[in-house]
Amino acid sequence: MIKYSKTHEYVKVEGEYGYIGVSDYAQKELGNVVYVDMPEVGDELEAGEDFGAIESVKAASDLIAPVSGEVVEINEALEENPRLVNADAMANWIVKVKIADPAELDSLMDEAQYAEYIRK
Amino acid sequence: MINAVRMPVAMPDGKFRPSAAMQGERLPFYLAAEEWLARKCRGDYFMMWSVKPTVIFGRNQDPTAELDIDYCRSHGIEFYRRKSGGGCVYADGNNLMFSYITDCDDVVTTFSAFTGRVAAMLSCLGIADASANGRNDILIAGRKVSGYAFYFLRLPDGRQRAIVHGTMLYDADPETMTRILTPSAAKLNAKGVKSVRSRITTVREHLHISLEDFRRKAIEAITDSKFDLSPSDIQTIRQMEAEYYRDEWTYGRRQRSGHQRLEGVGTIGADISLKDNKITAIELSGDFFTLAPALRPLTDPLIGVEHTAEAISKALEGVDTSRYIANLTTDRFISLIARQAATT
Repeated sequence: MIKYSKTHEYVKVEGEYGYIGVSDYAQKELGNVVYVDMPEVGDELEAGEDFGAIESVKAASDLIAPVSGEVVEINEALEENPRLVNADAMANWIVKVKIADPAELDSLMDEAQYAEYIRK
Repeated sequence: MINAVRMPVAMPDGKFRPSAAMQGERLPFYLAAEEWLARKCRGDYFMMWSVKPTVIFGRNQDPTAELDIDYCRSHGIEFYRRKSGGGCVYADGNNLMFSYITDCDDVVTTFSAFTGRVAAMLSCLGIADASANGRNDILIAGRKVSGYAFYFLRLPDGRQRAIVHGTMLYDADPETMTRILTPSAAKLNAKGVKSVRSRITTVREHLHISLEDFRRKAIEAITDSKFDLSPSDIQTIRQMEAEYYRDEWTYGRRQRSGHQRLEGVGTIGADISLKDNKITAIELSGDFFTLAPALRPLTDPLIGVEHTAEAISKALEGVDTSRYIANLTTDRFISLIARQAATT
């Protein structure tokens, strides 16, 4: 299951874990990514709060957590090669979290709703 | 419609008058004001401001690789991280700061609309060959006079706002700039975004105009309406300002001191992790000579300690560092760990 936030982050849910990244739409909007500022393993993310930043050749913007949870893994490949986000935003998640409250997923958009959201 | 943001300024008679030429605050106040206008207000705003000598580096830059921190400290030059991307700049009273806050559908369009407007302002004042380039700079005859960075905000309600801010060199002292923006020691393996050097020029080189006149004409050319900050707006901005003063924000959570060569010790560097401005881990590396089986007695007392020079010295009271690392005095060790910690 994949859910999206209004600020264009996704969470790909696998069991009790969620892989959080930015959507393909967000990636395109930002352009060539030059740096991804990630939290550390063990950090607690809070839904709606920023947990890092993504910087492209054009702009920097905050990463906002779609769900709360503890960071159990970060995508270290992005440290050396942030452009992976442009290559495939869905495959190149940024952090893996242990989802604290699955009910938070209900307030996010599913793929069809998100597709509609970015169309307007 | 672009609103010129004005602040109440105390006059000699004790009365307050709104002024669009904002000055006298420290840099974080203006960054917080931009963010407040972006998050809490609707519409378009323009703010012109200036600060005493201050270095501003990009969201994802390593300050130890971009500026000479020791030099700044000893010369009273402040330095801060901003939330927009890009490289490091030096600001003082002659380098005016321009901030444009607006709704944003598309980063490129927003950027070029604003830089185009600023370039047109310079042309109107009589600078013939001012133009915006593709790198978000404004050039006069091929030299940079003004450069912009972008902070793109996606608000919880789905609105998108932009903070486009940058420098406008009225006058400059290139030697001072270069001195400050040259790190004391070249850093190996420096992480983060690197600055790009540009050949610069100034408004004054091309135009006989006083700083005051230039400020006034720029505001007139760029804005067509006014917005006055109220005392309660200013109070909210002051609360938002606080996060820019935290070491953890300024230096980053993982601080790498870089390797220093210390006489009699060799090279030594420290990787320090912070959380809530407290030290959570320290790793020492270098070619120094160790005199003990483990260095933990040196680093353990610092875990959980606030990253300030005072707290670090206090935590190391009674620790004789030269028993662990040959010829390393406790004072030198403190200055290595606290090198980046605020001294205030």
